[in-house]
Amino acid sequence: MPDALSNIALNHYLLAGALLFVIGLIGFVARRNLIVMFLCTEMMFQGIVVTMVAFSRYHMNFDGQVFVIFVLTIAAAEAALALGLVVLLFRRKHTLDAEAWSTMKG
Amino acid sequence: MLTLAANPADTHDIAQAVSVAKYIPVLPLVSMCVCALLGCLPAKGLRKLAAPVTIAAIAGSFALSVMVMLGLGDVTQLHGGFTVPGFDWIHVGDFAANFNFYIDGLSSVMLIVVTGVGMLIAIYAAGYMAGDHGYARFFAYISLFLLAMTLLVLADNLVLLYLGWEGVGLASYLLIGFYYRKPSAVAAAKKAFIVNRVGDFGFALGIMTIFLTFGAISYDAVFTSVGDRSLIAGFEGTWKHTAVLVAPFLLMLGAFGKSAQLPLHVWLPDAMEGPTPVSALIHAATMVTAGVYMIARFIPVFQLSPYALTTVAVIGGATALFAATIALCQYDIKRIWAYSTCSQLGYMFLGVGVLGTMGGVFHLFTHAFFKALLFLTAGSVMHAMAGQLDLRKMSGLFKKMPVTAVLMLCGCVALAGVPFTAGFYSKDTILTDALAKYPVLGWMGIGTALLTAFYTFRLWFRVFMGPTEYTMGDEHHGYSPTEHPQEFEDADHHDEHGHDDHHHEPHEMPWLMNAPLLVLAAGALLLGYFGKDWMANMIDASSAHVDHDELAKAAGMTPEQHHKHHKELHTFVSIVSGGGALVMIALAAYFHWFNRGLTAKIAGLTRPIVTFLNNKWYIDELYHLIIVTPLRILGWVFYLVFDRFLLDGVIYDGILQWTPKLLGEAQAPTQRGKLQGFAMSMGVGLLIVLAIVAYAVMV
Repeated sequence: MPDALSNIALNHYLLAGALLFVIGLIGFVARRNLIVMFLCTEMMFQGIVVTMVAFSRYHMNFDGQVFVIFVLTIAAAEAALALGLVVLLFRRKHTLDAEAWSTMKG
Repeated sequence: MLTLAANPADTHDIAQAVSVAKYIPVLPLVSMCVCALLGCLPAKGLRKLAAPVTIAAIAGSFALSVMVMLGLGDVTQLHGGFTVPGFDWIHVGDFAANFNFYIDGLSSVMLIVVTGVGMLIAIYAAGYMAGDHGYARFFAYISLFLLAMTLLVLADNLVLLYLGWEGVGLASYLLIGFYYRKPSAVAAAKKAFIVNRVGDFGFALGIMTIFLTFGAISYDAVFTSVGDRSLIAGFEGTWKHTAVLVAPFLLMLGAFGKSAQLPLHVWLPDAMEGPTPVSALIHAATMVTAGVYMIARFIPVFQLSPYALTTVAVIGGATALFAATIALCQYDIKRIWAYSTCSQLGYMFLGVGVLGTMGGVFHLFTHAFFKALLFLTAGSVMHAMAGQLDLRKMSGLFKKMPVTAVLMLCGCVALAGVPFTAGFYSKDTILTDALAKYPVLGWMGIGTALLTAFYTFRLWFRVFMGPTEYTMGDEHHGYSPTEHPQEFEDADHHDEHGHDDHHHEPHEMPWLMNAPLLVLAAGALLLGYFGKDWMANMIDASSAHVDHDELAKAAGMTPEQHHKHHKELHTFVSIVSGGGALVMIALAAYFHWFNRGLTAKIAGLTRPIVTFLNNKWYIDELYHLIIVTPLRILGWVFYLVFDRFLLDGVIYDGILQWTPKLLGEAQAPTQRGKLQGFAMSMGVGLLIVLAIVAYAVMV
C-alpha cells in the first residue's frame, strides 16, 4: 500500500495542476489558431487530471484515478473528433483563424 | 307518497303494478344505441334494420305504458301519485335529485300519447324515410327523443324533468337539422335551440327558486309544502313570499319557449325544415306539449301566485288567435299546420290558465292524434308531389290520392271542431272553462275556433278539390337527390322513386304508411266522445287536479249552482263553436272550391292585410331589428375596439412584437461572435460563481 501524500506535496501538485489549467486558459483566449486553441483545451484538461490524481492519492481514495483513466480514454476519442472538425472547418474557409468564424455576431 | 287508495293493501298492489314504468325509457335507449351502431356499420343493407328495431322498442314502451295505466286500476279511488324508485343520481348537501319515476293519472296519459303516437309515426317513417342515406341516424334520433320524452314525463323531480326537457330539445335540434347539407335546415335548427335557451334560462331559475324556497325539488315534497297552508302563510313578510310569487313566472317562461307561445313562438314554423314525421311527432304531437304538461303538473304551484295563471291564459288566448290569423294567409302546407299547432297549443295554455287542466290536457291528447295525422298526410302529399308544398301549385288531387284525401279530411274535421269529433269535445271543454272565468278570452277562443275551421278547410279544398292541376316539386325528401346520387343507389324503392325521373304522377302511399294513419284517423274522430270521462278521471287522480267545488264556494256559489252554470255554458259553447265551424267550412268551400276567382279578387283588394299576415305580422323582422341588429352592432364594436384595436393592434403588433425586438437590439452588441469572447465570458462567469461559492464557504 503506497503512502498518502503529505499536505506540502499535495499543494505542489495542486499548484502544478492550476498552472497547467491557467496557461491553457490564457492560451485559449489569446491565440487564434484553431489547432493551438484545441491544444490549449487539452492542457486545461490535463491540469484538472493532475489535480484529481493528487486529491485521489491524498485521500487514498482511488476512484479519482479510475476516473482519470476514463477521462484520458474519452479525451483521445474527443481529440480525434475535434481534429476532424478542425480539418472540415479549414476546408470551408482555407484558414485556421478563429476570427473567420464570427457569424454569431449580434 | 301523497296518495292514497282506499286501503293500504291496494296501494301496495298498485305500486307493484306501476313499477314496470322504470323499463319504459330503457327500451328507446337500447334502440338508440343499436341504430347508432347500425349507422356506423359499413354494410349499408343492415341500416334497414333500424326501423324495425326502433318500432319494436317503442311498441314495447307503449305496451308497458298501457300496463302502467291498467295498473293504476280504478283511478277514481286515487288522489296522488306513486313513486317508482330508481337509483341515486345527485346528492349534494341538502340537495337530492334521484332517478325516480312518478306515476299518476297525468303521467300515465302522457305516456300513452308519447309512446302510442310515437309508435304510429315511427311505422309511417319507416316507409317515408326509405332511401334516405341517414336512415339509421334518423331512427337513432327518434329513439333519443323518445328516451328523453319518457324521462320528462316520468320524472319525479324537477332536475330529472329538466334533463328530459333538454334531451327533447337536443333531439329536436338534431332532427330539424337532419338535412344538414341544407343551409335553411341548419339555420332553423339553431334558431329552435337558441330561442329555447331563452325559455330554459327562466325554467332553470324557476327550479332553483323552488329549491331555495321549499328546500326540495321532488314533486311529492313540493306539493306537500304547497298544500301546507300554515307553511305558506309563514312566508308572509320574508323573501320566500316574493319567491313563491315569482317562481311560476320563471317556470312559465320555460313552457312558453318549449311550446312556442308568444313571444317565443318564432322557432316552431321554421322547425318544419325537418323531415315530416319529425314535424308530426316532435313539433306537433309530443315535445311542444311539454309546456302544457309542466304547467298542468305544477298547477298547485301556479295557484300560489295570483297573476300567474291569468298570464298563462292571456298568453295562450293571444297566441291562439295570433297564430290562427297567420295560418289563414300562408301557402306552405306544413307552415299552415305549424301555425295551427301554435294556435292549438295556445288553446291548451288558455285551458290550464283558467284552471281547466282537464280541458288543456284533453286537448293535448286529441290534438296529438289529429295533428299528427294532418302532418303525416301533408307528408304523403309532399312525398307524392316530389317535395311540393305550395298550395298555389296544386289543386284537385282527390282523384290522384283519394285515401290520403279522406285521411286528411278526418284530421281536418277534428281540428275544425266539427261536432262529435275529438277536437270538438276537447276544444269545447277549454272554451267553456275560459268563458266561465274570463269571458273576453272565451270569446277570443271562439273567434279562433271559427278561423281554425276556415283555414283548415281552405287548405283541404285547395289541395284536393277543384280542377286537377299541379306542378311537381324538384326535391326528394327535402334535399336534392342529384347532390348525392350514390346514396340513392341502394334505396330499396329505387324503382319507384328513381332520382332521374322524379317528375312522375302523384300517387297513393303504400299501405305500410297508410295503416298507422288509419289508427290516427280513428283516434281523431272517436277519442273525444270515448275519452272524455276517462281523461277527467285521470286528471283528477293527479297533481293537475283542481277542486272546482272549492273554487265555486270561494266565489260564493254552491257546487250545484256552479255545475248548472257550467252546463249551460257548455251547451252554449257547443252550439256556437260547433255550428260556427260548419258555417265556416261552408264559407271555405265557397271561397276556395267553387269560387276561387272571387277569393283572388278579395285578396287583391285586401293586399296589405294579406301581405302582413303572410309575413307573419313581421315578428321575425321585428326581432331582427330589436335583438339581432343591436347584438350584431355590439359584436362589431367589440370586434373593432377589443379584437382589432386592443388585441391585434396594441398587444400583438405593439407590445408582443416590439418588446422582444427592442430587448434583442439592446443586447446585440454584447454578442461579437468571437470564439475567444465566448470563452472569456464563460471564464469570467465561472470566476464569479467560484467567488460566490468561496465567499459562502468562508463566511
